[in-house]
Amino acid sequence: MMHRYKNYRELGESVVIYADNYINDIEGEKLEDLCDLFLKKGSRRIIIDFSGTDLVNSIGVSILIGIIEKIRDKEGDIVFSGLKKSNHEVFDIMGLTKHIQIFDKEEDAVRQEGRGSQQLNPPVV
Amino acid sequence: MAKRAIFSVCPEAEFFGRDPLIDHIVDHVVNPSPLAPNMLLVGRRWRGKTEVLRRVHAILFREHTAVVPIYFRIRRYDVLTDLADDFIREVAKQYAAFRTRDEAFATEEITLERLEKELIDSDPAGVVRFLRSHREARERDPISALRGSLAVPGAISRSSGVPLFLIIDDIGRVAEVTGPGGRQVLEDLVYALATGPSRFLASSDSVSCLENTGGADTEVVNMGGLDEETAIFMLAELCRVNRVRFDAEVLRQLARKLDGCPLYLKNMVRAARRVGSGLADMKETASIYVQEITSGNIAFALRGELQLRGKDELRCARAVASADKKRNPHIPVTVEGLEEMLLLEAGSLAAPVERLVQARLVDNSLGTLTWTGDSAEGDFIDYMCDVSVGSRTPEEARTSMVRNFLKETYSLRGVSGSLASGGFTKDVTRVIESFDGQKVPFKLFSNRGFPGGEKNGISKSGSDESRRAGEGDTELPIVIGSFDSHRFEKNETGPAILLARGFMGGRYDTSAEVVWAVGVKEGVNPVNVGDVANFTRRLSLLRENFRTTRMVKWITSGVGFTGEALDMAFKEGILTSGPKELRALGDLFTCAGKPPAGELRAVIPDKEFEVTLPSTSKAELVAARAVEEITVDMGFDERSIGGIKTAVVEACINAFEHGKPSTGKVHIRFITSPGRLEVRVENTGTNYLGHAETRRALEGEDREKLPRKRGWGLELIRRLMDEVRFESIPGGTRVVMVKYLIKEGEPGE
Repeated sequence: MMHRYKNYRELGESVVIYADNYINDIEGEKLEDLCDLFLKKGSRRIIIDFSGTDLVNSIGVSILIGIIEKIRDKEGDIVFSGLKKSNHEVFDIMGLTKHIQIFDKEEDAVRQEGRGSQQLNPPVV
Repeated sequence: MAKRAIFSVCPEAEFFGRDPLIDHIVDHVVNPSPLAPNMLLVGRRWRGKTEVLRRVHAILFREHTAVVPIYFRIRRYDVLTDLADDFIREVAKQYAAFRTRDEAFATEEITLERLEKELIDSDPAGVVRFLRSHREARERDPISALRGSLAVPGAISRSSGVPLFLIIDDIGRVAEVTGPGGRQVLEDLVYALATGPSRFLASSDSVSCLENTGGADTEVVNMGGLDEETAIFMLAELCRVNRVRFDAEVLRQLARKLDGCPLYLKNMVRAARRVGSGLADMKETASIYVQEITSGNIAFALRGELQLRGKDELRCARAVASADKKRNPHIPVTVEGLEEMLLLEAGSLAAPVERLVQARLVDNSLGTLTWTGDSAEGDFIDYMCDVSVGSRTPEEARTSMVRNFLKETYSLRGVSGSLASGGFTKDVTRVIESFDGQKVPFKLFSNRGFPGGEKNGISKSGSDESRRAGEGDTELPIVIGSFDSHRFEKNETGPAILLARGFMGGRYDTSAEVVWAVGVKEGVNPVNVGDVANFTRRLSLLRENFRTTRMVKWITSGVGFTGEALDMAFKEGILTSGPKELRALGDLFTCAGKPPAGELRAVIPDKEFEVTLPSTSKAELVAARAVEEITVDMGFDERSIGGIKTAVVEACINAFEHGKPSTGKVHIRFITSPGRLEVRVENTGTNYLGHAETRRALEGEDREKLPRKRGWGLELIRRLMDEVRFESIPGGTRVVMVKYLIKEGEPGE
């Protein structure tokens, strides 16, 4: 069963979260809260999609690192998708790209997980 | 005329200023203090310690019978037995020489076997027995042999009834020539000397040889270079004997520069005689000095003595020497910091630093390095580094050293820039003292020809002729120092004129000499016709002091010029620069080295934008949007634009984080020029130029672990921009970031 709500969409045990235009401390913490929420609800795989994100600052990235730690501690899986080149470069400089799988598009990330077993609907942002 | 010493010394005519010290030492030997019967002479290399010891030895040998003087110079030894052999041979030989009053025998080269045979027929003190015991001991155990040989002076003293007095030259060298255990051998040696029945006089470059060896009964005498007056007297005497022209003031500067070191002083005079030059003016003296330091006798001596082998040693020595020149005690130079600065792996400087310590150039105290070399050694290192590590040709390196020598001696004479005025004057002084033979666009000295002009209608007029004057490039002099005009203008009440002396074309002769006379207009008003007239009048009087020197006239203003003032300045041949030209000049000179003319031209601003951000949430996005507009307009690609925006955002966040909560504003200036964007982010508050962050960033991240969370801001800025520098400004910090526009088809990314 698939839920669609605001800046995320649920795909069974997976969830796609759509990051804001600017990831700073405030927006990073919002992402963190959402991830906590879905982990509690039993989501095992979280996809954060950055296709709508123009800028990420270093504090925002540090919160993303915390999110990755938290999800892995709970034996969940997290991947990123839709990064702009400049944001990819920031993640690369900070060494994050070595630790997380990054897909060009959200669909690729979902397909990798779902192996075609789930029907995809476009996200509602 | 004094009789020559037994061991070789320099000619009496070249020996100056040490007689009182020699008298003191001889008196100390003949009338020993019960509290400190021994003596240690401490001084840097080539200050004349050996000369003093050998002269003391000769006096004791010839004029006194209270003690038997034994002179022993520590050489370079590979094995302990060589040291033990040398020591016992000198003791036995010189004791026999003293008994027979045979001076020649004291210095004779002789093997231990031959010595044994020579002494066998006349051996009242049982010396031959000691030699035989030593021969047997050295076959079994080198350490026993050394300890045995050290005990021999005491044994001879006891059996002969006449105490032996040991004169040990360069005692500290024992520690460095006998391998890893050298320090222990040195301690054993000094302990044996201090506790044995024989007294001693030793020389060393530091008192550290007395550590842990009960050195309380040793008088320490510091022996520096010759004092200034003696050094000048020595130079003058040597010049007279060698028929070298000299000037007393030049000799004074030279004596200071060379730290009164007799070896340097002598070689300077000899070099002047050799090239048929004189020490009569600073330019020819600078030239001789540089020749000596780079390829003359001083260079030869330094090369042999310092034995520097690797590029890391040179780079490390230069970095420590450079920090010492700046004399900033708040920034200690650490091994770790140097490794980071030189982009070397941790621990890779351990061996080079150890070599520098051995060469007496650097002191290493728990990882903090201080320069212990002298000025000439610093210049030698500079040159070696320039030529073998840097990219300068020998000729360029020598030219730079000549310039530094002249600057330094100007500074020593106390005539360096001292205009007691406001910040703008200081800025101008800084700019002109950065003149180093660069080629810059002439428009920087022609206010009318500069793009953008000045604000508020100032500088709006001016004739076509004066407008056209701002074309082409101009070569700046190599400025060696500056001072104000007050000394020449006793009754002048107006603001001082800055006078900067320099040379054109890298030549340091009179024909290339030039003086830049700079009028500095402080305050909020532009330069007007009256200011130009006043400047012209005063220069016509000042000109009398620089009759043979070419003079360049330049008026600078922190506000700008009226059109009439510009026309008048143009007619009088006066250069004119406003705040933008000065800022562009300042920017040019902060570039490392001498960038090509194309790069110089690139930093002349086309447009400037300013943004002031309040301390509110997401205020940095305003800066990000502004820079996006600018970079799109300039033609940067999407990826570069994103990087620049991120860097600007990070700089703003840092500025807010470390700014004063009360004012809390961040000022940003965007300066565009062809192919170049410069962004300056300023705050008022604490200095956040943290190096720890850089260090953390350079440390290898553990591939298994996630990256650290905090401390990435400055690293991101550095990685995303082409040039980044951090500047302390009054009450705050400024980050200056530069990004170059790489067009398709150009080399770059």
